[in-house]
Formats: sequence, structure tokens, C-alpha cells
Amino acid sequence: MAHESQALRQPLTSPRLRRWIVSVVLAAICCVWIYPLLWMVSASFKSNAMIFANEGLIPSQPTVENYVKAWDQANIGAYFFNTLFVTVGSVIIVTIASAMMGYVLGRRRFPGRALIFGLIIFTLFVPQGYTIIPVFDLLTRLGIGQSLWGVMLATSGGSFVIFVLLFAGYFSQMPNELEEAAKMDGVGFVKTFWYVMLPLSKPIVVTVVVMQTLYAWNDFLLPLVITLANPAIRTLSVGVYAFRGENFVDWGGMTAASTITIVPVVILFLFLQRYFIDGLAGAVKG
Amino acid sequence: MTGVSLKNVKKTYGATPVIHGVDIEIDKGEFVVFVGPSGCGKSTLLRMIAGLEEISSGDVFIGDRRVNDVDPSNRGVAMVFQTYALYPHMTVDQNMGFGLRMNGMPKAEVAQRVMQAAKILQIEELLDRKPRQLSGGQRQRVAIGRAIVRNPQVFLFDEPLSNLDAELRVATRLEIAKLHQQLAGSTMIYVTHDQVEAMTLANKIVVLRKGRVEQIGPPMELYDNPANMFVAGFIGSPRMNLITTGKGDGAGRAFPDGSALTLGGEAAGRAATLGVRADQITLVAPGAGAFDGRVSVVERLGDSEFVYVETGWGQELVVRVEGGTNTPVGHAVGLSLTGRTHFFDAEGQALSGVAVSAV
Amino acid sequence: MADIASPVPHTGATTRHPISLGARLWKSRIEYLFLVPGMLVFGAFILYPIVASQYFSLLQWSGFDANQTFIGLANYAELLGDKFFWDAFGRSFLFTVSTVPLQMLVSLVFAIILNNKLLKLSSLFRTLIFLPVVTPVAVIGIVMTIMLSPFNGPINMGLLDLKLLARPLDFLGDPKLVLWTLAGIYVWKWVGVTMVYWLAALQTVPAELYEAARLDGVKNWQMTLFVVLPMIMPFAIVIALISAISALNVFPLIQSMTQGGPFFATEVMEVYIFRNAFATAGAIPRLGYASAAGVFFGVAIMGLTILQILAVRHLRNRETANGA
Repeated sequence: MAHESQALRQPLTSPRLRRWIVSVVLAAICCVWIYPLLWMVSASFKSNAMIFANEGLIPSQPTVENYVKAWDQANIGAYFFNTLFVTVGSVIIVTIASAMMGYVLGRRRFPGRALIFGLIIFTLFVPQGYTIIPVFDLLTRLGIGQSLWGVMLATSGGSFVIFVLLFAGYFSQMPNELEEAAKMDGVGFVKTFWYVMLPLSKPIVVTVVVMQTLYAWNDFLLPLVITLANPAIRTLSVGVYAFRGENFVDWGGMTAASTITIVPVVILFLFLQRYFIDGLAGAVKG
Repeated sequence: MTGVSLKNVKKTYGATPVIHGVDIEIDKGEFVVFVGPSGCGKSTLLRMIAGLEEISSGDVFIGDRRVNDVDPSNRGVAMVFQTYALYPHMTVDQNMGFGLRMNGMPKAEVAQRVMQAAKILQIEELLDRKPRQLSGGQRQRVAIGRAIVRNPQVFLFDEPLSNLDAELRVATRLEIAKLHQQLAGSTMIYVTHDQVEAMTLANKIVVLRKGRVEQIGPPMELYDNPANMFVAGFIGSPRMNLITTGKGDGAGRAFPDGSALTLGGEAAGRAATLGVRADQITLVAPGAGAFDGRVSVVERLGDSEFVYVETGWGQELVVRVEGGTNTPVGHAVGLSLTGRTHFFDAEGQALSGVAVSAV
Repeated sequence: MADIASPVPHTGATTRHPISLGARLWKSRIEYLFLVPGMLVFGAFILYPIVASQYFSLLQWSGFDANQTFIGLANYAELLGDKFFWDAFGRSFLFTVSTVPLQMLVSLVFAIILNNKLLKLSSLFRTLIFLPVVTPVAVIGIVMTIMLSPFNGPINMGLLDLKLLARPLDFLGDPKLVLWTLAGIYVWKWVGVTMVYWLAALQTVPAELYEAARLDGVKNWQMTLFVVLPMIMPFAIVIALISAISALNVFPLIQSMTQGGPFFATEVMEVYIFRNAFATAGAIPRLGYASAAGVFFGVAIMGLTILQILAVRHLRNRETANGA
């Protein structure tokens, strides 16, 4: 094919120029994309009067009165610590339980393994609204239907199956030689797991921690059912929701409460997003 | 008319230079091999010729045309990738014709070119199969076929044999050599780290190390007259024996164990390294050769044997002998330098005009 | 636990005697031990609820007291005639069918654009697009309610200023608009997740393939259309499935924004269940009835999912048979 006629095509700056244009357009889209969140943060630093004055994103008279009000008077502070409790607790439970379960499911043969696998995969297809009533009933019968412990335990159920599968998949890919070397060294099953296999699965551990933290912190339906009637133990999500019912026009207070709610997870996400994203990617491949 | 020409080509990644001013002339129709250890820049050079890497400075000419800023698809080149890069969801037929079809060539012409290439490579029966149904060698031929249909001036091969197992590698190597004869007039540039492939396939070899050209020449030229120690050690298997000799005074010279050696010519009065290939040493009775040693390991390959001899100064040299000689391990032997020897100065450059006579 | 039954070879026979089930269980006792914590969580909060729901659906029960009357399938019978139930059912599917394709398309476009490593700041963009995903639903609920407000809400203000609207739109109060508004917000929130899935799928296309195409003079859009898209199609099915299941889980968003209103215009199935179970409208809660609705819905979904999988497999078999 004779190409000589098309001697000198456009210089290589053309693809680069195209890329710049795409970057700019994408930047514009992203600004619009997160505008609601930007607006929220900006509104939280304005007094209610200024919010209605429609002056744009940067507050002319920034104030933290909304935050103070929300934290103390509206109990957001208490909610914050409630949420922290539930989140940390469920993360610990979930990580340990799913790691242990994923380990045996992924690497060991035993009677009933296939049955358990089938069972947990089956439950992936069940929507959550379906299960809330029995969970609530179970917690009530166990006596923790009105306590944070109940919330914490139930929140552990959220993405549990996915975590087990993540661990199982990761563990199943590890070379056998590690266990065999440990066996030759006379190290028992539990110690092998704790000192050898678990540390090696750190990427998955971090992923699970991040995902469960996000899930627990942002969980809405379950805490709503359990704590709506009980303001003392509400979590942030529920608190923010209730805030609206009680103080509808206090936009400043509401946005401040919302910002408090999202700041921890956004920070967590920014620093650890790689693990979260890798976890999602791994789940979809499996 | 030249095929491909590189003039003072340089490449930097950020602040790090990886190619330091390379000049290469390739004639039309030549089979040129870029060879060198990993990291030497051979693949980078190939990709710069292809247009997949930017040229930091210097010029690349294909034919008489400067192609630095020309789009890869307009340079008149075609490339065979190390992993073949076949489109997994298309048949062999579609794979080979994809580029042509996308550029608007009429279906009939595409089909004709594909069939032509398939005949040359003998893959007509595979045209309706998908890559996952093919063996490694077959996939490789499809990759070559995709290059052929473009009727390029220059074929670029990026380590095409490294994904094949040893047996298949030899067979495919022959096929590539035959292909070059069949497509007479096509220039082929081939990159590999395997010096055997370089020796067997090339009209001209370019030896590269750390972004610089060490030597360019026909295979036997590099074998017989390596320009420096690196090329001497790289080309040829087994590796050339390299012995450092002391400075000595005048023409007298000593091997590290004291055995004497006389060198004349350029080597006089300079530190030098003596190089001698395994097949240029003869085993004689102890004391009858230039120096002595003891047999440490013998590798028997059938038609030949490689005898590893540990010298008095602790260096292990390799000597090639006829198969069936059965030199016993532990045997004391003498080594006689009866054949071709090479000398290199302190910087590793070859010295010429050196005569050697052993005592 | 059963004692280990030692297999004693009978005289003359060389056949292996299988270890008894009891012995095998005992041998694996440490594995079972490891399963205990996980199975507790799983059993209590995942498996039990599913089973219990079935049971509850057969009861008439208010949830406040222990007064549970077994009424068999009466709940189901009532469901079949309940207009609200079927409306909610339809809305759930309408919602899914409209959001899933939109979500997949938008995220695919983003993923293709961001897959180009040379694009500066691509990881920044990826993070920004993902930000709504990590934002709590309750917060989104509040913020969007304020922003979409027909009185002084920034979005209406902006559209009025740009002269795109003559009068403010009541995005959340107008029964005709509200479901679509929520669908839009839903897509906005979750596009980041599907985008990540697509990015993972795109990474299975090796870089050398792009280079080979470039050498052949294949243009970018041709490469995307004829090579990349066909190669990631298998993933598309999985992603669609996951997205569809999530779309049926949209309860938190709807509950926090409209509670199913106005006038039930956004009452999808889970909101319906919630309303019946926890009596947010002031009526007597009916846990049994709500459970029946949940079971019915869940079974319908599973049935459809299985149908979908079977259909896909059937299509794929036909495709390979044709050698296409």
C-alpha cells in the first residue's frame, strides 16, 4: 500500500491536543458532578440568612456556628460516636469472621464445603428489604433490639458474603508451598493461619476493612428501623434524616450535620481508594 | 538506496537517557538483528523506528523519507509483537484483514491479500479459526501474516520466538529465514536477546549495550573480529575465555600463575586481556602447553564435549573437544593456544597486530 | 463426635474402605471451628432472615406483641388484590429498567475515556466521579432535597437564570417528575461503581493490541467499536446483573428523600414493605403481610434472574454453534 502520498501527516501534538480538550471537558463535567457536595460544604459555613441570599460558593462571612449548633444541640456529636462504635465493632467482627471462613473455604477440603459455597452464593441474590423484618425480630428477641450492640451485630451481615468470597478467592490462589513449609516446620493450623497466611492477605484485609467501614458508616435502613424511636442511640445517617423532620428550614444546621457525616469517609476513601477499587474489580472478575 | 537509517538517535525518559546517540545504516533487503542483554535498548530502538515511541533527538529515515513525525501507520512498516497481539474475538481471516478493512480497502482486495499471505505461511486451513484454537506457533504465523498483508517496506520483529518452547523455536527460526528469501526485497529488523538467533538469521548484527552500539557487522565478522570484550563475550557459545594478563615489561608477559607468554605488537607494555574461544585451545600433556590446569567438569553433548579446566590461578576455562574423547575429571592437563587469539586493552577495546608465542 | 473408625482391611481383600462420615467430620474439626464465627454471622443475619421471612409471611402479626396468628396463605391472597402492591411492583421494575441501561452507558463512556493512561489527572477524575458513591444516602437525601427545592433551590434558580425554565420545577413534589428525578439521582450516585467494574474489564485488553491496531492505521473509534467493546461484552452481562440487583435495593435513597411520596408516586417495593411493616403512615403495622410481600417480590426477582442467566447461556451456546 503506497503511503508516500500522505507524506507528512499532522504532527504528534494533535493527539496531545485532543487529550487536553478531553481533560478540560471532563474537568467541567466533574465540577458539575460534585457541585451538590460543594454546595453543601459551602452552605454549612454560612448562616441561614446568607444561604438564602444566593451568593455563590464562597461564603462572604464564613461561620462555624452551624457546626457548633449541630454538634451540641442537635446531638450530632453523640450520633458521631454511636456511628463510630457500630462501624469499628462491625469491622472487627466482619474481618476476622470472613477471613477465617474464607480461608477454610478457599484452601481446605472438608465435607459440606460445596454445600456452604452454594448457600452463600444463593443469598447474594436476595434484596435487603426482604430480610429487615426478621433481623429486627431476632434482635428484639435476643434483647438487643434497642441497643447499639444490636445495630453493630446486624450491620456485620451487610456485605459479609462478598467478603468471604473475596478472601476465599485470594487464599485459594496462594501457593501451596507456604503451608507445606510451615507444616515441615511443625507449625500448627491456627498458627499458620495467623502468622503466615493472614499477613499475606493484607491487600484483601484492607479492602474488607475499607468496604465494611464505608458500608457501616453509611448504612441507613437497618439503623433507621432500630434506632429511629430512640434518639440516644441513633447513628449519623439516621440523625441527619431525623434532623430534617425536626428542623426543616435550618439548612445551615443540616448541611453542617451532613458535612460532619461525610468527612471521615471521604478522607478514608481518598487515602485508601486504591484498595476499595481493587476490591470491587476483584469481585466482578470472580 | 538505503532501507532504514538512524542518525545520532537519542532517547530520554524524563531526565534519564536510555539511548545515547545511535547510528545505524540498514540496506534495503537486509535482515538485521538488534541483539543485546535486557535493558540495552533494542526494543526501544525498534519501537522508535515503528513510531510507537517518540524520538527525543536525532533522525530516523525509512527509504529517503525522514519519519520522525510520521504516524506509525504511514511509515511503511509492519510489526510482529512478542505476544502476537491477535484480536481474540476475530477469526484468523478477520485478524489479518482488520487493518486494511478499517482503512477502506475494498473487500475483494482484502480477501486477495489475506489469501496470498496465508499461502506463503501455509495457514489457509486456519483462516476460520479463532486465536484460542491455535497453537503458539500457528498464532505466530498469523501475526506474521497480518504484517505481510500490509506490503510493508520494513518488517519489524520484537522477540517473536521468546514465547515458544525450545523445539518450536528452532523450527520457526528456519521458517523466518525462508520467509526472508521468499519476500525478496523486504527489509527485516529483528530484535532478540538470543545470540544464536542473531548469528543464524542475520545478514548484519547490531550489538547493543546500555543504549550504545558496541559493534555492527555480519555475523562472522563479529565472531572472528570482535571489536571489544563485550561483543567477544556475548557472541558465540560457549562464551569466549577471557584471561587477564599482567603488564609485564617489554614483550614478555606472564599468566597469573607465572607461566610466561610473549606478546608483540600493540600489546607491548600495556595491560591486556587475552581472549580465546573454546575450540581454539588444544589439550596436551601437562607442561607441553602455554600453561597447566586440572579438569573440573566435563559436559558431554554427543558430537562434542566441553571440558572445564581449572587453571593454576583459579580461573575456569572451557575447552571444546571431539565427542567420545572422555577426558577424566581431575586429570591434569596442559592448554596450548594453537588457534586464533584476541587481545583487548584495559578499556576492553580490541588490539590488532598482536602476535603471541608461548613459551 | 463419632470415634475415628479405623478401616481394618479384611483378609485377602485389597479394596480401600472409605472412612465413615463421622470420621471425616472429626478430621476436619478445625476447619469447622474456623467456620463458626462466620457461620454465626451468616446464619443469624443472612440465612435466618430469609427462612424466617417465609414463615412470617404466613402470619398475621403486628410486631409489637407476641400475638401471632397463623393464617396460612391468606396474606398472599390479599396481596394479589392489593393495588398498592402491584403498583409498587411495577414501579420497582420501571425504576430498574430505566436506570440500569443509563447507568451502564454513562459509566462505560467514563471508563473508556479514563482508561487512557496518558490522560492527565485521570485518577483525580475517577475519584471525583466516585465521590457520590461513598456519600451516605441520608446526606444525599438532605442535600438534594434542598437543592431541588422549588423555593430558592439552587438548581431551579440556575435553570431560571439560564432561561431554560419559565417557572421552577417541583422535582420532588410533582408526582409525574419525581420518579425520574430519583432515577437520575440514583444513577449519579452509583455510576462510580459501575465505572470501576468497566475499568477492570477494560484492563483485560492488552496494551500490545492497541499498538498493533495503531500500526495498522486503525482509528481510535474503530478500535473501541470493533475490538474493545466485543472483548468486554462478557463482563457487561455480569455488570448488568449486579446493577439490576442493586437497583432493586434503592430503598435508602427513596425513603430518605420522599418516603415513597408524593401520593405514593415513588413507592417502590421495599418502601411498600417498610410502610406496611413499620406503619409510618399511622396505620397498624402488619409484619406478616409485609413479609409476604417481601417473599413474593424476592421470589419474583430470583425467578427473573434465573431466566436472565438461562437466556444468556442459551444465546451464547447458539453463538458458538454458529461459529460467529
